[in-house]
Amino acid sequence: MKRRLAVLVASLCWSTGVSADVLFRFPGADAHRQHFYITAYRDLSGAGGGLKDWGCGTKTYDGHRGTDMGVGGFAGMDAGRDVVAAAPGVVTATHDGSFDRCTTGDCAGGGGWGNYVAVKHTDGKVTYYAHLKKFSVAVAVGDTVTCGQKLGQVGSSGSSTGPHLHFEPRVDGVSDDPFTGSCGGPISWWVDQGAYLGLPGTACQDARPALPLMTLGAAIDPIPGQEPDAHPEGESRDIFDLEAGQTVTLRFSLENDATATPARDVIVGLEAPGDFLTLRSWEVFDDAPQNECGGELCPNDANENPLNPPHEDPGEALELHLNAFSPGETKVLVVTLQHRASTHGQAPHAPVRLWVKHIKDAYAKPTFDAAPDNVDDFQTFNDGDLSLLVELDTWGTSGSADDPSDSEAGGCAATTGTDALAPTLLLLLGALLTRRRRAGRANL
Amino acid sequence: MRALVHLTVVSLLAGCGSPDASDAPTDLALARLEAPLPESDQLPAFEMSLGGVALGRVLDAALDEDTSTLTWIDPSGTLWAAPLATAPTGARALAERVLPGLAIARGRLAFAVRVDGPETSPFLADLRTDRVIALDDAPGPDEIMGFSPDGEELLLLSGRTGLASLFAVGVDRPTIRQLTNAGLRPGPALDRAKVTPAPVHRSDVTWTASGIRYRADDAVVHLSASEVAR
Repeated sequence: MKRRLAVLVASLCWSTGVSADVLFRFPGADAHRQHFYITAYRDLSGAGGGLKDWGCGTKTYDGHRGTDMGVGGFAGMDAGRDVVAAAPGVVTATHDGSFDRCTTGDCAGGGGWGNYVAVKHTDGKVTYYAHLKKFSVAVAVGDTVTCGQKLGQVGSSGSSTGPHLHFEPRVDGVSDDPFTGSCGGPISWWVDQGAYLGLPGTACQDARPALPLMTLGAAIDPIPGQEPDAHPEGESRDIFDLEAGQTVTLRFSLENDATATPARDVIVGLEAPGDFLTLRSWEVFDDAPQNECGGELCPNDANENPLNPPHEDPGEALELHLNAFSPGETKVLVVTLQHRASTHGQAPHAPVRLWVKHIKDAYAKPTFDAAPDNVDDFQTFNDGDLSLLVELDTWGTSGSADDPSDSEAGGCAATTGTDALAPTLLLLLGALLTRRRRAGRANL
Repeated sequence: MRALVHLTVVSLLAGCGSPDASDAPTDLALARLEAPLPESDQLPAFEMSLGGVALGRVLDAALDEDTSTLTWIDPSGTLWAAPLATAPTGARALAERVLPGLAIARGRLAFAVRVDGPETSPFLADLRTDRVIALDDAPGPDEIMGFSPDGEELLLLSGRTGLASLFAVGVDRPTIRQLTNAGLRPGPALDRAKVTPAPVHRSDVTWTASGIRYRADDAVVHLSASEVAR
């Protein structure tokens, strides 16, 4: 009689942390927002190249580099329309005292920008707020400003044809359009950019610190000597079936996003049901650009961490110190498990559990079932849980006692061949397996 | 269709040193073209003509009487110079990213170049040699307001202190003098009553032996000769 078990993978691709990019709110006061309207976007076709804005319209003029917002003429200006910081930062430049009722477009002051404020943000972007009302500048160079803090009021100073705010973000001295759209750049720098010809939202970006941004994935290597789905009549279809005594290799990928901060002191937990599966070996690989394999998957120094268990027959429950992850770095944990052929009991969907136990100053989850402890509740992704469940069914002959097969993970050479799944492929496989799992569950 | 909004005519005598000067037209006219987009920072453009002959669209232009040279800023911000008798033929580029606002004295052309965002810096071109030098590189916006009567200083409207103020920069000597608002700084604590208003337009500013005079808001500001004396 055969015991039937199938191999499945569950729950994938959890993330933690946030991007370091600073996003903007609407640069006018909440109470005055209804008085603002767009008069000109950035001209994405450049000087002399026709007119094109981010929405593929022509709400711009030749060579314009910012976003202009009117407030209802001089009546609106005289009523006082506050300009506020689009994001937190430090004031790097101000200019005040220039004539502020210009209508000709060529009044003197501020190099054409009239009265203005510049704010530098934590990601290096600088936002400019130009053509402000004379003597309305409310901050000084060196001031730290919060998102939404008043900087001045809308005016018509410098090269201005009427009261308006010229809002312009710049990166490394180069202006850029904060909007994304059919004819715009791929990324919006607004928290909520709003509709074309509408206004961006007034919500500030969450005041989150920059954090690691981890993603998990998993894949299963083909089982040596066995075709996929050797026993399709069982309850779990389209998956590899594990025969008695056979080994299976699981590859868990952990990636830190390229825009994130380094993830330090990363510790993962790994558990397998000892009654049915035995952990035979583990090995960690990475794709760090500075590794000795030139950025290809290569044995990681976590293999040498003295806090880690032996690589061979490490036990049923592991705590693995994976050390630090650079931004953009992926590590692959290769684990070999063997069906315990001497076990006679049924174990459908026996779980292999992997979870991130610790990321320094960012995340903690002592056991697989524990509620994760996120720093200041910043990680709200997918219920804030960095864990991954691989369910294994085994199909074995009762009482058999096949010799265990050796399945050591290789070094550089082993990772550069077909066995060396690129991280992206690993994730794709993980997603595929997730779909299979859902299908399998539906059959239960 | 173009709307003639504004017309400025500058009449100058051609310099005696130029062999073609006697034949060169001397009336430079800048006719403002269509009105810029309302509630924006679109610069006004002008149709430049010389002796009644249209020469093209410019942001600004000036004639130098000493060297019989026509200079202009094209819509892309490039500064050009050409002999008055042949202009625009024979034009050579002097600088790029140039702001409207040119001043000429004794064969030397002063202009401001955009450095980064609102930051601009003053430059000087010798129209006889085309040699261009930077007059000052202090951070902040600088705009050209004109030359002193003797041509030895350049008047700047500068934001280097954060407050729009007039400065006099030596043309041949590395000197700089703050003429207005010395000691004042912008910000919430600024005593506005002590602020000398800034010019509305550069064209409003004249510097003569009796001092500097310009229009500011609804008033006319006069800095006496003693106030601006070196």
